[in-house]
Amino acid sequence: MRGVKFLREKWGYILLLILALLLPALVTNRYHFQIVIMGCLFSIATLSMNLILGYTGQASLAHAGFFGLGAYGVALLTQAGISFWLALPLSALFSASIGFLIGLPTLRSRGSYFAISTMCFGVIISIVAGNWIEVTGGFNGIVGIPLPSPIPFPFVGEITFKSLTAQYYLVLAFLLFTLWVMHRLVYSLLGLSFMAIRNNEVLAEAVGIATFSGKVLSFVVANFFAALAGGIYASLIGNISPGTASLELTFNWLIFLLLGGAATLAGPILGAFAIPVLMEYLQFLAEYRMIIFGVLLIVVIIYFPRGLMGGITALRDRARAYGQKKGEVKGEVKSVAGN
Amino acid sequence: MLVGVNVNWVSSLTFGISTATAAAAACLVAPIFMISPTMGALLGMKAFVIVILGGLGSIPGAIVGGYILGLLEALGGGYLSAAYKDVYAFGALILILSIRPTGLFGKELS
Repeated sequence: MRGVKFLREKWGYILLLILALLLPALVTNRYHFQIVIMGCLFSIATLSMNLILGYTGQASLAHAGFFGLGAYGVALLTQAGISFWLALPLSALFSASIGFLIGLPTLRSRGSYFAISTMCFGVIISIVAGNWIEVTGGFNGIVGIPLPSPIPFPFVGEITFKSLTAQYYLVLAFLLFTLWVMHRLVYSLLGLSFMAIRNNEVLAEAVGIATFSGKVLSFVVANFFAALAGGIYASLIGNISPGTASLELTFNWLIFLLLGGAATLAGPILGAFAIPVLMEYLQFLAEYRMIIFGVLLIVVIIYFPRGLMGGITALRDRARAYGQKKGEVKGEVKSVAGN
Repeated sequence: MLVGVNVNWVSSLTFGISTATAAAAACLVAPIFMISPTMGALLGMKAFVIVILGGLGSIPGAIVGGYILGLLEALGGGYLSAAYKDVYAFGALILILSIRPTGLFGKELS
């Protein structure tokens, strides 16, 4: 019975999951498939940004900086001969600890002060990546980063990551992992305290929530996942440059997040897929597509302040309210007829 | 709104004045530096950094912040390494904000 109820409630999600698993069979064009893989990677990054910006309400603009830290970490470690599967958690943990060190001073400030100080940190990372030539290779970046090493599996044999399909499943697995962690976190007591910090920090502190440590924790977790995405990116794409840590990337994710819907779990993923696909369709406009993009952003901000997901939820609520009203009217008519 | 201030008009007017000041600054910059369509991006970012450094809503803060940022960049770039000149300025900002979270002249948050 429980299984049936579960199926009835979650059939949409299960359908989506099956669709995601079957995607390699549906998308045959290599170029389009590459876009899907990048969409998954950027979904991870946007989801982690959502934690600090959407749920905790602290606009961190150092996100691409941490993405870059993770990417450079994996690149340097795997080139030193360490396996990808060890290098990825190591560099993500390293970035998270850097995030902790940066969070301690910057999270004392609020609002735009915090945004600017983190932005400065992000810019510093990309400048260092461009100029510390002995380690990072300067503006040429690092080329020839090895693919994730094959996993030996009993019976099946080795799983290598040479084909795009295997790479897609790898990225999808990490996306689902991130989504699971975010889901667990957001719907826990801790997630509630994050949202309390977002809604009113002073009030949250007054009722006994440790706001500062909450903000630091959210920042560290967000940076961990940003670095995770960066590490996978470095390994799959094979070459990285200071552009990996650029402010432009942060603002891209910010747009994905705001258009998709901040403080929802589906919003960042929707944004990270919908906008690159839209960009592909507007390819013929070349640079002018940015104009359309700007107008779209303004329209969404004015009419759907909570992004596409927020708009969908509002529409659904309205439809439900309309349906209920109709039902009530019918009921009245019946009762009148009964009399 | 309640006491008869036309909010939309005032915010439009302030936006207009700030745009005019920015354009005036650009007129002074144009004869000295090269101009390009994207020249505003870096300057805009630095202006934001300066305002935050001095403290939002503080005029002396903006002036002092501008001097601090400019001097740090120029001195750091000249004496230490030109490639890292932005690092000194931005690093100083993180340092200053960690000591004074609302900028140099910003009002303390209640």
